[in-house]
Amino acid sequence: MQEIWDILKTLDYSPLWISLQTGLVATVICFFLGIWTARSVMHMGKRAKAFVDGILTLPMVLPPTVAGFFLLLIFSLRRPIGSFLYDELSIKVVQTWLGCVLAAGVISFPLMYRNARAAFEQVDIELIYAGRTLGMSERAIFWRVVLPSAGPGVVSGTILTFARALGEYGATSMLAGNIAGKTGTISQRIAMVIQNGDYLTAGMWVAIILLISFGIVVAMNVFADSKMRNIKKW
Amino acid sequence: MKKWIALFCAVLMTATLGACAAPAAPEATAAPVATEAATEATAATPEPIAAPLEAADVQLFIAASLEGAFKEIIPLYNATQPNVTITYNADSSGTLLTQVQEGFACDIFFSAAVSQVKTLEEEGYMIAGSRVDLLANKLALITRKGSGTVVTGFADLAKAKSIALADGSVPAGKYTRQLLINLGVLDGAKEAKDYTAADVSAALGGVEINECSNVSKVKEAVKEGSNEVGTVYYSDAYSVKDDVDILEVADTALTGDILYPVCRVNNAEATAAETAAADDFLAFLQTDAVKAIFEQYMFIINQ
Repeated sequence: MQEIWDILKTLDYSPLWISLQTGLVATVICFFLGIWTARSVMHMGKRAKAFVDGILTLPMVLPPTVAGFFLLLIFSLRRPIGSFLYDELSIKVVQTWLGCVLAAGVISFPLMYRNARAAFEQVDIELIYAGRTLGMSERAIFWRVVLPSAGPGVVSGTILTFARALGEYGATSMLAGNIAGKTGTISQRIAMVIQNGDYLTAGMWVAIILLISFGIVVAMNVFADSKMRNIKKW
Repeated sequence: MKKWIALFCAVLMTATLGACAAPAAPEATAAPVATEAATEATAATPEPIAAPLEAADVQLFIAASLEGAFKEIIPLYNATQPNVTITYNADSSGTLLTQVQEGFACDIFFSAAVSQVKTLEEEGYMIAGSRVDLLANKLALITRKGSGTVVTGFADLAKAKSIALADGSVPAGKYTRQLLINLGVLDGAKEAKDYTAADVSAALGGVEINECSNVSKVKEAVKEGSNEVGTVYYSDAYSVKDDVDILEVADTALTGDILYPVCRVNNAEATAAETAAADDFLAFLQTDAVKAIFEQYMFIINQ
């Protein structure tokens, strides 16, 4: 017990903050982008839809290290896009926290997009017609009719996105690196300490990340439950 | 009401997080395994360095297996050079190489194998003449403490019931196969890395081989008793020294040299102060105090 306390006292907590910030920011971005993309894809023609959907789901299929490698090729300072961003806009993705967010975002994006799309496609179209008949603007219909009735799907997408983003390892290590205090996330820290045979510290980190993700997911569930009264229990 | 409960939970969580992070001072902490060794290392005083350097940030890329040692080395360096910040990126040597090739800012590259540094040199990333083959490793045959194995070394490996072996693409697996060729167990008809687990098993008279994708898995398989023996690096045995016995350490004549080279890398983003600091840190890595730390982690000092 004393030993555990000693470790907790001397632990470098930077991975915790890096992971939490990465997870939260990536989730917020994916939330809006995923909903927007889901809406856009829904309106496409059949073929375009199948094609675009395939591309958007790819990050989920590829091993994260491979996805990370592709991201690295895109944002590499030695290649067109990456050097343009850096030279013209001073945006540096590789070797920075931004890289963590981007890697986690790209890998977890399909979870948000897919869930949101499935949920939107289930929305009762009569409700939307009713909204139009009553003279609501399309924007108002989306936020006040569609989103509430697609709520459970959107919430589950958000939770999965956050969980995936928080635990991202492969793509992050490729794109952002494992720089202690800068891009070293909890997952990367766990991999490092296990490699060095320090199972006690690894266990601490596992406990920390489990507690946090559990807490946040429970909180999101409670919040969602209180918000959505239209959940059918059968 | 429920909304308030949710809000309360959120606030509580944030508060707890804040509380547990408060005492943490970033970068000042060392791995608990290392604390015992750290006190010994600081006893050996570092060689005095003339003037303190200007504030600079040195980008250090290290193979993951070196991380434990560097958690002690960096504070030791900062004791004499407090203005220099050493930022390290720890991963597999292959990933680190890719990152340098794709424009990561790197000043010093410490690899677990020669091939990556050779690539850096060939492609012009390395600063000419800066390579130092600082550390060496050896191949070790390990078994779980009290496993009661009849195997005494590489020569009677065939007596084992099962062997954990890294596959041929992993350096440790390649070196093991090279050793078996030199012992005459494998016929040497093809390159060491091309022998499959089935080939090795057949050559050893049908011993069960657990083919592992990296050395850490070999270490775990032996430590947990899944396999009777396994081949890992001598330095890997450090992290499990309480659980495993080393049966034999292979002579490098049988495996070929296993070197850990370190070199300076051209960093376009580096300022003059950073270049000076990187040069200084590379020199520092070659001091006796640092070598003593590496030795505690069971690396062999090569030069």
